[in-house]
Amino acid sequence: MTVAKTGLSATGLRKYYGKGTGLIRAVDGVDLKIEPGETVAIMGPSGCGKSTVLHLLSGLDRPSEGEMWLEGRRVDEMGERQLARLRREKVGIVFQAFHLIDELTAQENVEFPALLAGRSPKIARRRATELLDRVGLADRASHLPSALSGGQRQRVAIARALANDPVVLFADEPTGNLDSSATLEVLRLLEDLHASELTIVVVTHDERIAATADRLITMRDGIFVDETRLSGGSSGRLGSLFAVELDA
Amino acid sequence: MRGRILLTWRLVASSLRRRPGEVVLTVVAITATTTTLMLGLALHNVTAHPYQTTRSLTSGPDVVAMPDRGSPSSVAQLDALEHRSGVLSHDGPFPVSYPIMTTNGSKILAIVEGRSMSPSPIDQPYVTQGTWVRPGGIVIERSLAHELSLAPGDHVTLGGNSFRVDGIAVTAAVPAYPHTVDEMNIDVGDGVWNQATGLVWATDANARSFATLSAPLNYILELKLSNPATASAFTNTYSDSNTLSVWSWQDVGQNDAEQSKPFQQGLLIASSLLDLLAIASPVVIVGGRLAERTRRVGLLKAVGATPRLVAIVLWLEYLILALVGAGVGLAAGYFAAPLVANPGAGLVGGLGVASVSWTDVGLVVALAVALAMLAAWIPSIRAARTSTTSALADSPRIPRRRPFLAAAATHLPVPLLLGLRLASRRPRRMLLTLVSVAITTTTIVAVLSVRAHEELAPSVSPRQFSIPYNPNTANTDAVLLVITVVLVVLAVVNALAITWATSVDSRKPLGVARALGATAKQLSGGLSTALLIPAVPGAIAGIPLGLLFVSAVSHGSRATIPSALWLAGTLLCVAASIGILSAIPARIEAQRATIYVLESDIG
Repeated sequence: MTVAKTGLSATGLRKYYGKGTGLIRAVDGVDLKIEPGETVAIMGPSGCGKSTVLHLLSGLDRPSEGEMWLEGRRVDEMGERQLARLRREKVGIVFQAFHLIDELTAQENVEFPALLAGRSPKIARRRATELLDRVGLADRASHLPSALSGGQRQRVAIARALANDPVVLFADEPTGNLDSSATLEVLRLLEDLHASELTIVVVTHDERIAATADRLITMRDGIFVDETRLSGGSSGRLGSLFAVELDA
Repeated sequence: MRGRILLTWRLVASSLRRRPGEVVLTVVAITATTTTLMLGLALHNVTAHPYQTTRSLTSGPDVVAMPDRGSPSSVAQLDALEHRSGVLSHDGPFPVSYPIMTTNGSKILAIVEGRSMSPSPIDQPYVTQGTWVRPGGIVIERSLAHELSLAPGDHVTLGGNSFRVDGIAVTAAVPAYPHTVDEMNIDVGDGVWNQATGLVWATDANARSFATLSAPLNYILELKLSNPATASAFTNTYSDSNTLSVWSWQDVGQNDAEQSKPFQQGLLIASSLLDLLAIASPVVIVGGRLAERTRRVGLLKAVGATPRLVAIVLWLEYLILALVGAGVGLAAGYFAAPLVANPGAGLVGGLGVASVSWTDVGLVVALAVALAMLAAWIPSIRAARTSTTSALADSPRIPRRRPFLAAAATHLPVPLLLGLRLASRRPRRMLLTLVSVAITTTTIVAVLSVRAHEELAPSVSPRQFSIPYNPNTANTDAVLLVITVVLVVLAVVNALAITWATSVDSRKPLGVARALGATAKQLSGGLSTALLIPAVPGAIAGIPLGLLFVSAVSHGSRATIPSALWLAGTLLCVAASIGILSAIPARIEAQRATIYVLESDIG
């Protein structure tokens, strides 16, 4: 296999839990290649392993088998310190549950990754101000998460994920906890980021979010069963079934 | 009914199985609390029983009489005493002389009592080490031997002649050293007059040989009365005598009790400090579990449990932990109590017999049950008052926000940034940590101060005659050892409890920091910093507090300051212990994938 110096790729990615008769194959052989600037959405029913794939790709978890590469560097063999650096400098992660720090303001939450990366407080603050402005929350900078709506919290979380100019943004069900209007706020933001050619991998149940992607991957029982270029047609074994789901 | 009992038991068992680490820590904390309480209670019995035991072992006299001067007329008074009504039997008079004793660079005026090599029917001193008097040898009263660091086989010079120490013994006839003081002032040369102190037994011939012109031979008579309880009344008739000293067994017992009183008070205060420290651990642990309990209450109610059943389950859960802890604590306290409750100076005491009563046991169990009730009470009340959905959705209090500290932290390196922010989230826990570490250090410094005092105060000057005052040295070492061991165990348990509670509480912010790229080292450093922020001032405050404590216990006299090296070592050890212990949960978390740490967050 040739390794691209840019983008994100994975080969034979597997993640197992338990052993013997209790063995669970959460991810059971996934191959993936994502080009720089591409937005990929992963959809599928609950428990199909899509969040696990995202956790593996973003360095939040380690695979049982398989290879992962980011910008020509092998991720699956990295030590904990290298993984920490990867999460700090190369990837941004957005969670369904936001995971903001309760006692820090929006601004402090956003500048936190920059401080972890050793940036000066002044630079971190300036960057946080820019990002909050970009996500439309400049006037909420001094608010605590508890004083923000769900959509606003998720936008703060997205701003935080962008604090260190990541190569890839991973979003795990970013609208899973949001109501309709908040979902639209996040949707617009992801469209903007897509337009800015940031590489994005998003796991979602929401077809509106998936519709913003260049490519849509469908997962079932730990494997990719369908891949759709949104500009092109559907392919794969369960392509037709996926189409039915979308209609529903 | 049977089904309900089975259900309750299953709920309790499953709850205990869910978090074995917490269960173990809770049991250890309760064990430490109950052990300490047991030791504290055992101290109450230190003074009374040991004297009685010694008196019984030595066939102690009811009344002892001694002329103030060894003149023939005074000795005649002793003869009259033997025939007084109420006197059942007597032994002696035994010859008493006052030679200068030198050993190990010390020089004192001893009281040498001449004895037969065969046992006396009254006041046969109980030999705790070595043998009874033989020609060429002497036996030394235990407190004096301890003070002069003498053991069987050593040699001392008495009246210019060398004697072998054959044995160490105790008696109930006279107060223990340093209160064994003869009334007579003796010219020891060079114009110095002194009172003899410290009892030595020698053969009759040897004792007589030490008599000099300036310190003539004296005698001591020991009586048994038909009614020992009347001994005080018997001696009162001689209270105005200028020529005869007469004292009762009650006088000696009271003197020994008085002698060990300051020490006992000190131990009781130390024990109270240890109790405070011990109770701090369960408080921290129980406090840490409360948030999770509320969610569990919601879960139980959601599946149909009544508030009463919830309360019973919670109470039983803590009761089991408390009773296990109390059981282990009682056993540990029972075996350690004799060490603490060993006799005061010079008394044999109840060796091997724990001074623990059923009342003490009841108190300890009551404390453990009270802790269980307290721990179950708050979530039970919440169970009754909170709706099921609210309980299920319960999240812990939002941590405190300290804008100034949050801003100031941005200028610090990452571990300090994390540490300062973690520390500022829960000020009450930080205060508890500070107080807990301060108490720990206070007690360590107090122990060091007592030890330093013993080392620095060789009470007998080699050049001068003096009456040394260093009571209870005979059992100080054993007691200090027990206290030190309990202290170390408690300090470790406490540090573990605080570290555990802080790490549980910090799981979310640290998990987020890890997801955002903080390394395991930075996280571990952050947690250590969060604990060291209150621990260091606590440890520093503990130094003057420890010295003040010793000073207060010794009735205002200045405490001996341990060497700077020891104090610095104490500070370093306390800080290092907290640092090392806090690294453990951080290391455990580091073994788990970041996502699990983040998703297992309970806050």
